[in-house]
Amino acid sequence: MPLSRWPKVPILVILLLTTAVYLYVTPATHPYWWAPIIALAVLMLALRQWSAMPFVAMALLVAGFYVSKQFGPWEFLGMSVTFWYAVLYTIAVVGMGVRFLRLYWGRDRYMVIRTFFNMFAQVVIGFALAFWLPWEWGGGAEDSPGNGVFFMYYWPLEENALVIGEYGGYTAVIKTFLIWNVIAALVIMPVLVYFYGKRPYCAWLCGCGCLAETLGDPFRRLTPRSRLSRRVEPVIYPFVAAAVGFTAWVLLAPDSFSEQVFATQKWYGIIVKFFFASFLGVGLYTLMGARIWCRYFCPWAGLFGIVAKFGRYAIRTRGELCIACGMCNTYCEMGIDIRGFALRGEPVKTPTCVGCGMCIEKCPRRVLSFTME
Amino acid sequence: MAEYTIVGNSIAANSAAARIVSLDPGARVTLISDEPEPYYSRCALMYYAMDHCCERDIYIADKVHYERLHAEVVHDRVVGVDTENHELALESGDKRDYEKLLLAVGASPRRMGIEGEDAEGVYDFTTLEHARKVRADAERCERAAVVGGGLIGSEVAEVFHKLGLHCDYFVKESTFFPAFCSADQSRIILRRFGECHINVHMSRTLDRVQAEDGGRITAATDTEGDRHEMELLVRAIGVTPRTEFLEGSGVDVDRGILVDDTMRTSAPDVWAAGDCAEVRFPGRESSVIQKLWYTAQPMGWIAGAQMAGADDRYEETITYLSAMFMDLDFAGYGEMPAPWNGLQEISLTAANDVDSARIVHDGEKVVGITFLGTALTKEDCEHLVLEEMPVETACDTVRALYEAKMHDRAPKARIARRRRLSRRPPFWPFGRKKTWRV
Ligand SMILES: Cc1cc2nc3c(=O)[nH]c(=O)nc-3n(C[C@H](O)[C@H](O)[C@H](O)COP(=O)(O)OP(=O)(O)OC[C@H]3O[C@@H](n4cnc5c(N)ncnc54)[C@H](O)[C@@H]3O)c2cc1C
Ligand code: SF4
Ligand code: SF4
Repeated sequence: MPLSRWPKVPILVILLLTTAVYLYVTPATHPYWWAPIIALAVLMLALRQWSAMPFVAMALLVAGFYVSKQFGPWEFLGMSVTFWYAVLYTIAVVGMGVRFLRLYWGRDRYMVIRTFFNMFAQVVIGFALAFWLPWEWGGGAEDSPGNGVFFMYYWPLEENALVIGEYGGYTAVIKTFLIWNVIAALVIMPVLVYFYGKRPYCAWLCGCGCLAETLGDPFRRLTPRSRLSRRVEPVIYPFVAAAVGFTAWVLLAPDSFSEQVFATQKWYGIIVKFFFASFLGVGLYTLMGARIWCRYFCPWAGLFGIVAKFGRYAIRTRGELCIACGMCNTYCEMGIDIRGFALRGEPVKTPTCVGCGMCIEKCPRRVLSFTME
Repeated sequence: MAEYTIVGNSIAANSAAARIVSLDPGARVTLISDEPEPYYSRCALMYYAMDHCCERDIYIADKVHYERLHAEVVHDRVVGVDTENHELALESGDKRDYEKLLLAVGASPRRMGIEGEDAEGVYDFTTLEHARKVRADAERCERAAVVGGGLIGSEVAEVFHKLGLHCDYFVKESTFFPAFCSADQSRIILRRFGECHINVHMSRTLDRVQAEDGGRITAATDTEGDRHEMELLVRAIGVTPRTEFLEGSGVDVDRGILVDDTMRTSAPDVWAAGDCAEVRFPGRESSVIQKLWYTAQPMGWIAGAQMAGADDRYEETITYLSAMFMDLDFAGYGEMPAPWNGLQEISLTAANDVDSARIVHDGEKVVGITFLGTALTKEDCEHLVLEEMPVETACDTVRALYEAKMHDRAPKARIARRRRLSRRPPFWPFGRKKTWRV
């Protein structure tokens, strides 16, 4: 088999997985902890998998941050690794947001407003509120600058959101976060999702969504959109079950502060939040588009996808105008077969649509529009 | 349970097959096509050519598409039809019996009939194969040209612009798309082409094509005698229904394959639908050929129903046409007569000098309306035309639409960067560079 036809993605994922595990079990203080990264890069070069290099770079960046957070908590200018990760994240969202705005300025109002909101959410909620605002009442900001609390991640994406106080006690900031999550995640979001679909959260507010809509925008066309990729979408439900089950367990267990809870939490953190959400989630941008995490793994998306499916949000299609050009499918970051719906004349109503609005913008015949049924 | 043979594998053919299968679940369908690709969207060729999507994105047929239609696809060309013996002659030499036959063969591009037209680098733009060639050639060229002021011509000009090529565009008429656009709309569209650095030459076509020794096009002379250098030329001067293989077959042909409102041709058990069909409505003298995706679909649908035994009839609906000139939406409803047989037009333009409308009327009633930029919805226009609104009402409706958008600025042209071959890095490390382009 010629090299160019090797199944790149699985090979890369396995290699990176191995590297990540190695990094994880090797203390970052080990003198040669960087060796496998170099080895991987050299291997990629030798295999001439040039197209995979951005993937390697992005995935390793995330992995590097995560690993150093676990093992060698470094500080730079008095700020922690979490802080610098958030700085990088914010720069990506704002910088690529500006790029996005330049492309759609004056031609699609929805896109422009949404992107401004993405940038606002990341800068204010995802950064300033988490690190800069003087939290008089203690909490993260006091004991280590940069141990931020992000008010844009809701239960069950933040699987600890409803039980977070159980870990470090109920400081004021934690109390605020808890109350906010009860209101936002359990009351506001279900109502919003019922009427507007996952759009308000996934495409406007969520940090993962902000990054996907800005940094991930050039990679939209890499989204898998084969029949197989659509059929494996239900792998999201085990993740929903894990997050919901974990919360229920902690809440219902009589002595929730057992060693077991801590261990489970730690492994959930490594497997779901580090490996699937960050490492694959961001790493796969350059191979499989920006929304792999959102489409296959995110517990919030899975849970509220069900609400959306039975809610009133849909994308109206005026099938009689459709020329079957497929631009909508090409640019949909969730791999939805919008053209199929349009040709059948049905509204697009799926648990996956995140309401980014790109299909509507790209359709050359104005077939599609958001509606509330 | 019957056998159905369909010549063609595009929208008319596939919508007929879908209808046949829904009415006759045991049907066996054979699709014969001279294109090797599965069913794809012809309208998406421009997006493929300018690399806004990949080849697989324009295929409408997925893996199970033909299974669902109980259809078998044969890659061959039909060269003759023997209606007496119910037999098809194929290019490969085979003969094939048919029980019921649908001709959905579409239309073939017109030729210019000038010297040097067969040079390498002169292409049509109606099939995926053409689009592939244009796309591959555009990679190594800097100067391209298009001839033909129709929808396909303007699409190809946009393709060349988006690919960053120098583009000359020859239009025979003195205003752009005169059958559909008012003088104002034509001016606005031409201005947009100008903003995107497309050199439009109005009232000119090509006279002679010059080729180098190897047979590749190097330049062309236009009807005014000017010489234009080019490495690539796309000819888009219209399409004519494909009927040549029907000679002597007993199927009546005029401009297209003649059918009535049941899509039945003059020969027994033979139907025709889509671009190739010329519909004669009973009780009416004139006939219509509609060469649109939007009409090929219902035609195929009706033909399928008729073949499977249902009695659906094709009704002439209001013509609806939509297109995009660069980034300007264009939509037309109702009659848009090329010769002005007693009709008049009113042209309205909004404050931003982009949104504009042309209302065609017969002195009192609206018969057709076209929009550039902002448009009324299709339903609204149908009301205007179907209910034969007085012209004044229509004008007021459109004026109100423009009034409401008075303070909106006109959308700015999205201008692609000119590509110079020499500036490209000799070696680009990332194989997927192209796919990342927005
Ligand atoms: C670049 C381009 C852009 C367009 N854009 C638009 C648009 O925006 N809106 C719109 O409404 N319309 C548009 N059209 C027109 C639209 O594509 C056609 O009206 C439509 O495809 C007609 O469908 P059809 O099934 O009748 O024929 P076709 O699509 O032409 O298909 C004919 C089929 O018959 C097969 N065939 C032909 N001859 C033979 C033979 N002898 N033996 C075997 N097989 C044969 C061919 O292989 C093909 O599969 C566009 C066309 C082009 C080329
Ligand atoms: S269907 Fe449209 S709005 Fe929904 S995710 Fe896909 S592109 Fe975005
Ligand atoms: S982009 Fe619009 S016209 Fe094209 S296939 Fe999708 S809905 Fe149809």
